[in-house]
Amino acid sequence: MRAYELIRETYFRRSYIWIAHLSWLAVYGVFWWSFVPAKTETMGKFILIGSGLFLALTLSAGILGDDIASGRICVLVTKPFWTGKLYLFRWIGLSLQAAVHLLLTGVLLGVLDLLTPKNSIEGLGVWLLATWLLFNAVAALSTSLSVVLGRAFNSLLLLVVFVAGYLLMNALMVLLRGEAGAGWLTAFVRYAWPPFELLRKFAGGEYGPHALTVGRFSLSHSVACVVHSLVLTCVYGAVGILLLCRRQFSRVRE
Amino acid sequence: MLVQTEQETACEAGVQPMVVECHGLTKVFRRPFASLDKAVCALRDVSLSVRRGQIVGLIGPNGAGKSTLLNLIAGLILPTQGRVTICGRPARSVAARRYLGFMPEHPVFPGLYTARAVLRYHAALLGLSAQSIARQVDASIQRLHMQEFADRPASDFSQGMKQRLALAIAMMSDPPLLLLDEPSNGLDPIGIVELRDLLQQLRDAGASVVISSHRLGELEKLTSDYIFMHRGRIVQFGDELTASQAGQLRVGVVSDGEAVARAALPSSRVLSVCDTELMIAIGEPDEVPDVVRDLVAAGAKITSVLLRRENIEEVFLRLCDEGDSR
Amino acid sequence: MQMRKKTNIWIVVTAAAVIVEVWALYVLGASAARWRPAMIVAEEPAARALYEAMIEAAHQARTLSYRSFCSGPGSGPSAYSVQLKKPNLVRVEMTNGMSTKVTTVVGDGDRLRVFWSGDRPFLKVDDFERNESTQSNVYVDMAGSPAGVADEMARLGVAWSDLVWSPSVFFNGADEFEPHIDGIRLRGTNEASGEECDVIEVSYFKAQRTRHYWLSRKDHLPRRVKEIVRLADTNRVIAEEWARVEVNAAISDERFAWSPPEGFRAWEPPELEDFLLKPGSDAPDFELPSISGDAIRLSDLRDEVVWLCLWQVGSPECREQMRYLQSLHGKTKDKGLAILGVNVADDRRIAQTFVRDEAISFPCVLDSSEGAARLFAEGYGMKSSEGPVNFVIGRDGKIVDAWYGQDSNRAPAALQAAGGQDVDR
Repeated sequence: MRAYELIRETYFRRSYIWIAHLSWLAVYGVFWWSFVPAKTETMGKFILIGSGLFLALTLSAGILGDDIASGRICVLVTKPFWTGKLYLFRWIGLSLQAAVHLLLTGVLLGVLDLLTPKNSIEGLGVWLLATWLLFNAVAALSTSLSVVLGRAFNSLLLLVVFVAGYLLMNALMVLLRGEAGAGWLTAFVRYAWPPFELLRKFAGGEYGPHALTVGRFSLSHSVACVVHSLVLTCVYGAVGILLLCRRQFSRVRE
Repeated sequence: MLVQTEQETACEAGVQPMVVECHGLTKVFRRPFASLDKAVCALRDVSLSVRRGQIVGLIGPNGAGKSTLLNLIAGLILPTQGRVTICGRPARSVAARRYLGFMPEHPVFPGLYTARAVLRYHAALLGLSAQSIARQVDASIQRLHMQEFADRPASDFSQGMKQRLALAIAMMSDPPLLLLDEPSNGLDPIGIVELRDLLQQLRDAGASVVISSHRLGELEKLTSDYIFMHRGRIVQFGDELTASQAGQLRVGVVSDGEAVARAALPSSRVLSVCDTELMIAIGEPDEVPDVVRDLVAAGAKITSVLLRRENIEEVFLRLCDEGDSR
Repeated sequence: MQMRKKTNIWIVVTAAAVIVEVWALYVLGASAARWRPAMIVAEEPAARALYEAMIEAAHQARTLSYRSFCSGPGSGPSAYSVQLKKPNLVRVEMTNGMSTKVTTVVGDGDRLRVFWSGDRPFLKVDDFERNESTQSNVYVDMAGSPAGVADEMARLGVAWSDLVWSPSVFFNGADEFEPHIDGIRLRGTNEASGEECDVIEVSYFKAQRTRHYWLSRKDHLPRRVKEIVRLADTNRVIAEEWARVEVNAAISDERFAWSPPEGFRAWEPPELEDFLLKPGSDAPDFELPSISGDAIRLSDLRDEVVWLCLWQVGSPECREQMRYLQSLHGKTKDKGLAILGVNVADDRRIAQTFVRDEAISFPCVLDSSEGAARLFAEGYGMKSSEGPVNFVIGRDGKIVDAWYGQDSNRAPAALQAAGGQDVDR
């Protein structure tokens, strides 16, 4: 029951959550109808960034920061269960929301595919899986930040960092072209940051047609990609849980 | 005995009648990267214990350290030095939290949840089964008289409703220790009476309650055991027990009040005097007959005798003055 | 006790996660794809038979038409429509990505004509000025056989991803890499283009390059070809997918005929050699690591005539040139001619294997850094890395001559002009 209530709470913590879900579904529908993407990759990339990044930030805004800022956390952390469960079940709640959202996206696009002359949903399932993996990683990172930052600043900060970081990284790659620093930067972005590129390759089948092996999908690369994404999510989560368990909560009026 | 000293705690070791034990608690608040001279010492070497069935009021001026002490007992913050145990378990541990019910000063609830849903949520967090949750929720609503607003969203609640709900949450599953921060905030007089009755029921059932409050008059209605704090330390109430029973004796005389007072009493006991009225400081009610006899023996013609006890606010203010002057 | 059990469980779980993550990072990292001797394929008769069957099928076909979609992780996709007819007719239409601009190449024996559906695109040999002035209403009419259509298209740089399977095989020719096959082996069966195919793996140049062919059981021709070229820091992968394959279907000769429309003019694209440093220019100095690790500085060879040769392991012509230079080095050692090989593309171990196998004893630079590539591309004017690029530098540090490929006439003259020895070819 505890897990159920904590998970259920993520659906009702803010009034706009349902609006966010429905809005993105509508956006996907409009995008499909307007552009009728000839290749699954076009739609897939859009979903990857839309749901994997923006929806994750929207849903995880202030997920723990709200409780900490309002003082509600003081009652929650005096309950007789390991504080880390607060983090864990809320993250699971977000992950479940994403899973349902992406299932609905798949159904919606399947229906639209029947109605439109072209059809390009072959392999869409892999894109949805990649999106879910990315969502989990971004949500974990955002939730961990929410332990430190109050209110919805975790999402805002991440959004700014992603955008600014992307621009800065491109500039640095040009400046450091050929230098050893570029290699380190690439490695950091590839392996320590939410795996946008890896998951895009995984879903886009670049590990398949262009893999160094026979077959449509390189099994080892695909498994490695999924594993790395999950491990990264666990690392982000572990950091957040550690911070939450060690954090002190005070509403001192001194 | 109001507050057990550490020595008395040691005598009863092994029996575990103590619900809360604090040993040498010190808490220093210091911002990261700030220098030591900017640190604030909120608690200094505080030791106390609260036994089973005791209702204790934490009083003190602003900045005395009441909230800090409450937060340390609740395990919300860690002491810089010293330790806190609840029923023998470290305060921040999961085991200790089983014995704890906490009510914050300004309770906040998710706006979309009704009172019933909030109670269900917190009952679930306690680890109760689905059937127990339903029973517990109904019992809480009955106990705190929340029937009228149980199914309204929390965003519509008044302060009093929020207090009731927060109290219900803290009392859920009858924990051995309740920590209440300003529980009577927003409660009407009927609510305060109900609260007092509730706390007494809890005490009779063996629960301990620590209440932090600024409303001394209302605190008086809830308990007679106090921990007075000033500048991060506990002021022992040993002598203050006597002091709380102290009072003023107003004696009306026909005439020559001043002469009679000078003749009968030491000047330190005479608070004020005029021709027809004397105000005499009384340590305890048993002194009244002796004072009257001494006045009569000194030739006073007494017309009236009225004893007024020092209330808790007067004690509080007196102790604040004494604390500041030390 | 329970705490210790919980701690142990956590230790085990963390250790497992670390191991699994290390494996994942290894697989995803570049090191997993690095050249290893095990990549050199051993010969399997059954696989060889399938390969021969593919060649034979191509030779036997009178006509062949197919759609080809080439793409790679490092290059955008290019779509081709290929029509081949014996004895010597070819038509290739190519579009890049989502573009509607079509590049068409038609050939009917000795000449190839290249034309576009609109203005011609920016090519490898272009600069902005040239492109602007020769953009519209132009076509290219060049000497070339149908068998060389893929090479010519690659030379012009019209496509983002070049064809892997060369139409030269159809015209009774051979794939240029065939003499350099290490071995062929079977990789089982796999579906491609909706057909069940036998998959063979062929490695060339001691696994500097590997191709997988998905060979249809129906006509023995490919349905997919994947080429992996192992370069210094990356693997260049191009996958070519075939569709609508028709063998011996009727194709009218008119498909291979083309006349320039009214107002069109022939445009002669510049030769790659035109971009190389001109004779009389100062050869840019450099200090780069050799294949053995120590540094080589060009200016240290100021007292000698220097023959600088840029080469790659995966180019048959380069390999031939290197063998020639080695024999020349043997004859002219300590006689005022310094031969210097430069490799800016290959994986270190692949290059070292070649140098060792061919007993190359003249110094060789091996540097795959961005800086080295830029030096030779911009400093020395090297527009293409296909085939050997030769520079003869005089004692004054100036260029005497520069050319692409093996040219038996250029070398002796250049060396003579530089004051070097007579070269006996």
